[in-house]
Amino acid sequence: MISSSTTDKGFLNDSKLCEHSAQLSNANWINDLQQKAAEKYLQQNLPTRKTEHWKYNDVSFFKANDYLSAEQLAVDESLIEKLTLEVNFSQLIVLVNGRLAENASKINNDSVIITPFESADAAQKEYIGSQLSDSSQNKNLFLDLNNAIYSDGLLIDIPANDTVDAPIYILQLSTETESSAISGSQILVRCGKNSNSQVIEHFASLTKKPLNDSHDSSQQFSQFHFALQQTVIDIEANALCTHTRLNLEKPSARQVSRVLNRLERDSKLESFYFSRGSSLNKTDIDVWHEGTNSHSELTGIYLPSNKDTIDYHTCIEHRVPHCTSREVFRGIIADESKATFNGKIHIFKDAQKSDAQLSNKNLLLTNQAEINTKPELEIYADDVVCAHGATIAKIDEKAIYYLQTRGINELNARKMLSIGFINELLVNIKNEALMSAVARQLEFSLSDLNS
Amino acid sequence: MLTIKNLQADVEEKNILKGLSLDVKPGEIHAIMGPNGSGKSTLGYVLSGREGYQVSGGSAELNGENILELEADERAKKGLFLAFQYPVEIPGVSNMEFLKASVDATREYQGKEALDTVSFMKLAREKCKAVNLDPSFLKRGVNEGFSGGEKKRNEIMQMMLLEPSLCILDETDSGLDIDALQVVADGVNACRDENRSFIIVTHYQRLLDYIVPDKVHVLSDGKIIKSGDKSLALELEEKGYSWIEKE
Repeated sequence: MISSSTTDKGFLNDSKLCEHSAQLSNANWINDLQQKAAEKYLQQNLPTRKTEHWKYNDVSFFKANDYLSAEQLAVDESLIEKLTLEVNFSQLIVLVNGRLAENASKINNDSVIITPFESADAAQKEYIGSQLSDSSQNKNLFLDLNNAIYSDGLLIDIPANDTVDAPIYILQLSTETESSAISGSQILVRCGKNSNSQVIEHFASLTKKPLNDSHDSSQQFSQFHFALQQTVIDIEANALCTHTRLNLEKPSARQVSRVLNRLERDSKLESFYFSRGSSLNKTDIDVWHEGTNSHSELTGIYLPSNKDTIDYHTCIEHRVPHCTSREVFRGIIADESKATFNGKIHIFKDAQKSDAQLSNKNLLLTNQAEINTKPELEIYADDVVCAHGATIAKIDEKAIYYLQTRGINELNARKMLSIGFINELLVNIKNEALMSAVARQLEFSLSDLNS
Repeated sequence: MLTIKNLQADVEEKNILKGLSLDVKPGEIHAIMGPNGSGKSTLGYVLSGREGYQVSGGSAELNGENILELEADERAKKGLFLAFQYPVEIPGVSNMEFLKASVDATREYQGKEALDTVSFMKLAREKCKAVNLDPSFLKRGVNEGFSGGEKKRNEIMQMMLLEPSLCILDETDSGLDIDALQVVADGVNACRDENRSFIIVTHYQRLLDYIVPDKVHVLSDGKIIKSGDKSLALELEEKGYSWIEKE
């Protein structure tokens, strides 16, 4: 089912990381970028529970010296068919442990052009270089590590004025590994002026055993590649990008990732996040309103169960005047799982007439479930509208009783109320096939929760 | 239909029902009146199986079967219906989805054939019309943002859909204007038949002008202290409760 083609192993300890990063690619300009990222990574200490950004995550499992970088694997096409959601797509990009699986991908470059960093032309090189340096951040060293070790960076170019009817589907798989292995992934999406595009990012785990659709705990002890990942979505003037990001990995998977969205003048971002969590599932989401009159909408649903964790750190930056942002995240936290939601809105000094709204609601199903939610506002302009709120609740026992008096048994009543809590967010997925596919995932996760 | 003998029940270790007995025969309408805090709502909760309402003595049989050990949903499926004084709002769950789940579960339990979606929708719209609710209410969250009167009419609509054998209406008339009261009463009267019984809990005689009871009971301090025919309600309206309590 899975066969190994090439291997490039490199230890990630101090002296060897820079060396490794400096020769990952055949292209010197990429090696230079990666070596710089490696240096930045090495200047930082691994986070502990006292590091604010990592307060609710345990990364003590990570011992840099033990880690090997990912091998390139080929996967069966039929397997990919089973894994992808039932959605029409215009192009399919399959990455296995961060490496492009060309045989399994369906890349046609009809209108949208997908370019591996290594084959970038001069203008593209310049663009990639500037995006990566602009996107640099200072709070998550794993993202610096990602920038140092990714192998197959991809640039997805949506041409100006183009309307892409069917989504671009990016499936990223982590495979089981016997040793501690790490993978990096770097995706840049450039939405050209006046373009209209849909991007689906789907993360899943690939076990060595035959495919089993359930998110059950019997897989608890298998080990997957530690997946590092960054996606940058750069939306040029007057363009619309619809972005859906689904984390549907196995419970023992580990991922640390970031999505950076950059919005130019009059552009619009509609994004939807769904995660059911795993032993480490951390996504930093940044939205930078860099052009006036741009609008962002973020919707998120998280459903951790068992001992899984989920962490979303979102930061909406209103850098210029007259932008609007809407953010709604809801979570149902079951069993002994733990969710963290940090929603920051940052309004820059000159960003007058900003309009930002953020809401986070949580439903705790047990006394052991944990939610850490923190809305944060940093406002430096004086003529803005900002609203934020977070709630934590338990299932309304009165409502359970009411449903029971109408003949609905307790288990189904709980399921109805759980789905009801997040159902209304699903309408924010405008692609109907995708909405149904996500709804199925939701029901599937919730039937697990309530059994 | 319903036979309650010497029923005693506690809420949070406080004794509320103190030996209540009641015999409701098929097709009868019984009105229960009584001062605040006499245990009227508690009776509905105890019979329907609300958690936290502990039965400490006595029995209650529905069609010859003891129901006090059953889960709330099983009692409902056996034909007991409680129209709430304060129906619960459930945002996110549509009225239609809720009603379908409710009717499906009940029909399945009673061994009736399941309704397909189209027939169900047709039926639901019909019942909406019968209680003067716009069918658009079916698409809204259960009771979400409904006015007091709309909530009560929604309760009666559910009653019509579920076709229960025993209906308990807990102060369904409170907070209703005269027109809504008429709609509720029409709904109840339309459901009346020889095999369906009603217990109507109310504070006011007015509802009984529209729904004529076979028997009227006065509940006070957890017990029925006086029973009579419909003229008792008129007497209560005139004199209040104190004269009976003194007797």
